[in-house]
Amino acid sequence: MPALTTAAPAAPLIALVGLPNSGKTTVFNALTGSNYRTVNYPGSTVDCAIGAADLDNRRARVMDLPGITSLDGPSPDEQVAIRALFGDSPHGAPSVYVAIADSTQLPRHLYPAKRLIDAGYRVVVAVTMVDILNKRKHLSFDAEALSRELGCPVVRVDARTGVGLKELRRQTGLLLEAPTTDRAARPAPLSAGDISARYQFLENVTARVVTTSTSKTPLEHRLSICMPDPLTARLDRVFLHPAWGFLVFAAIMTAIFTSIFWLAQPMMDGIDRLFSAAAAWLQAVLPDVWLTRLLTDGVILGVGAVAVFIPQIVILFLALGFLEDSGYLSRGAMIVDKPLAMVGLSGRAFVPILSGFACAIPAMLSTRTIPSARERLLTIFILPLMVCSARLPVYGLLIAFLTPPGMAWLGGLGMTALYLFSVLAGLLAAALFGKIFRLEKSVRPSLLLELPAIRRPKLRVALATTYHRTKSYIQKAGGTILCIAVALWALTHLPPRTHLDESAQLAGSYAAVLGQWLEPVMRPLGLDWRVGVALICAFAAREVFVGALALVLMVSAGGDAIEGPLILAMRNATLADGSPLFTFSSCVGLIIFFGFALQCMSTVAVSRKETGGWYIPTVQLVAFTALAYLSALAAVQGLRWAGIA
Amino acid sequence: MTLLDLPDNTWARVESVDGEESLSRRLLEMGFTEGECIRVVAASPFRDPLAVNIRGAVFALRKYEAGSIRVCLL
Ligand SMILES: Nc1nc2c(ncn2[C@@H]2O[C@H](COP(=O)(O)OP(=O)(O)OP(=O)(O)O)[C@@H](O)[C@H]2O)c(=O)[nH]1
Ligand SMILES: [Mg+2]
Repeated sequence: MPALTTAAPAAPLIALVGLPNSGKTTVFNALTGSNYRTVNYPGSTVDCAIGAADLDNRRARVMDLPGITSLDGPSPDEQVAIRALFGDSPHGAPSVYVAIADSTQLPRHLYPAKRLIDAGYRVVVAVTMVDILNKRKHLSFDAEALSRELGCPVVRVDARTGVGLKELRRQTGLLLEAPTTDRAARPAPLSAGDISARYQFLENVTARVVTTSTSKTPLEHRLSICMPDPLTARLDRVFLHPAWGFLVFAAIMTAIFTSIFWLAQPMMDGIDRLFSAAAAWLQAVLPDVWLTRLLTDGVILGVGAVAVFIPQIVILFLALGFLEDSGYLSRGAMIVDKPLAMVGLSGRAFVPILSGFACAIPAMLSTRTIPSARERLLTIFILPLMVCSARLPVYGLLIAFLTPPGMAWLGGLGMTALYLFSVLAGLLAAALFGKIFRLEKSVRPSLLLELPAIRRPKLRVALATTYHRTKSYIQKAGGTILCIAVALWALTHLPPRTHLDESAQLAGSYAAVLGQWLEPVMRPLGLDWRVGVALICAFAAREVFVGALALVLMVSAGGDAIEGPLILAMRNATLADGSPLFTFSSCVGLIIFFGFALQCMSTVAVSRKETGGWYIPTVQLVAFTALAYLSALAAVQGLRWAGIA
Repeated sequence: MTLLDLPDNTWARVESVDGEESLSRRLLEMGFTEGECIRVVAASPFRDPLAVNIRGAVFALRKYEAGSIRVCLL
């Protein structure tokens, strides 16, 4: 968090507090110029974030927090927020609270704010989503009236367009100047009667500040405030329909996964040509020394082989971005709740699983919104099985190898099948792990998930999240791929001997000497040491497998493309006895190995941190990797036994 | 009757929230207070989970959660 260092440690702290999905992170980004992800799903923020802001020439630190529904909520993300709210975080105690409230649900959203105000804290109320209230529900909102009712400043904001931000800065700055009262103290939990009384008060306030131009009876007015906006209601009739809802869900998922393979092809060819052109150009202008060959045949080839698959990853991120901004995620979670409950998970595991398709690490963090400890641990347990974006290049290559030319749609369906397979494997793993290992049994697991207003997804938002996710993907994998490419090039080209053709050089290289150790492990899978070396490299990062394979198969980058020659080299590669190395059965074996193996050490580290011990990460590492090898072995031998090479 | 017996898209009022202390407390704090207008907007197969509209929000509630909310017709 670079913003931390720019603010002086003494700068006062402003805490953003509000219900999930009220728009806190959007306000935070606008105040501090940050780029945290905003998602139309309750529970997108699960950790504190700090940024520096300028409030009318006063420097301040602003703190974004996970959403809370009350001041004593149970789930881990709410606990994080509540501790930080009352000063129990490294950032210190907040001086002023900015309570973010969704204008379409004022009583619920003012409830925590009202409790802070009553307890004597300094609060500014920022009311969001007034555009939805005005345009869709044809109601208007009176900020001044609310300010009088609550006895604190109230500002109407839409941080996406900048409306009201200046006023919010000014009011917050003014409150910072105001003298502190020392009567502020963390309020004790309320009795049931007191909760009802607060809500009654806030309900009456809402009826006075949210008004309509057409004349209605008090009950009609109350019902019109209570209903969701008409567009959301209409769409939900389809999205939540017992039969249609499931079909729409299946169609959306299939469309996403099929397009990853199918639509990416033209862009992949473009990147392919770019890298080959760079290699050809370097070969032409640089003298033919070993350093040039390291650059063209090592770095460009190794990195290029993986980079070709970036369009697939971009399409996945873009699709997820649209889905996240639309508000559909909660609907999907509701639809899969029943099936997931059968294996001991809940609908709240849907969003972590979906973001596990991008990367298991943020997915594990997002399980913090699951209140039941048992469901949360089970979700973390199965997340490493999801097809993450690091597996995508490997699958992309193997599926491209297996797909007959001109039938990209078949490859697309194959990719969809792999995603489905990973989810089914995950559900099975959850069912088994839940039975064999006794996890802490909590009270009856609940769902209690809010379904936010559906919106037309904004291209700008989807593009921004795609950009940031792709950037961090490249940053994370890029360095590893580069180092491994250089190291592997050196291993395959040392010791240097002249007058040898490429395969003889490889056979006598250090890589071959080391690789001999792998031969006995790889032979039962129908593979040889060259693939073994690539698999070892994949333990640094899964996608390195593709680059490493290109290097050990000695694909020359001098030609006019990388991906084509790599597939050609795979077709021509043979085992020691002359039979083909990459057959249908050995490719299926590889896909299964990658499907199960836990090759990502960062995932292990995050799993340890989130589960608070070594038990679950150890089981994951050992069980999934053993399962990977054994089931790949069974698949290869089974296919061969059935007569499929 | 409870929310489970309420026909879809029919308005009712919350009478009380029964059941486990931690759940009923959470539902109360989320706004399921006595006298509030409530209705079921959609139901999954076997009415589990239910989509329930209250106070301008829609919530997905599991069967046992919906079963703990007593309602009477408006
Ligand atoms: N129409 C409309 N949408 C808004 C407004 N403010 C925020 N949003 C959208 O509401 C959604 C939720 O915003 P976030 O900023 O992620 O909400 P949050 O309070 O941080 O949510 P959690 O982190 O889940 O607690 C996003 O899709 C925003 O683009 C607003 O004033 N009007
Ligand atoms: Mg947020």
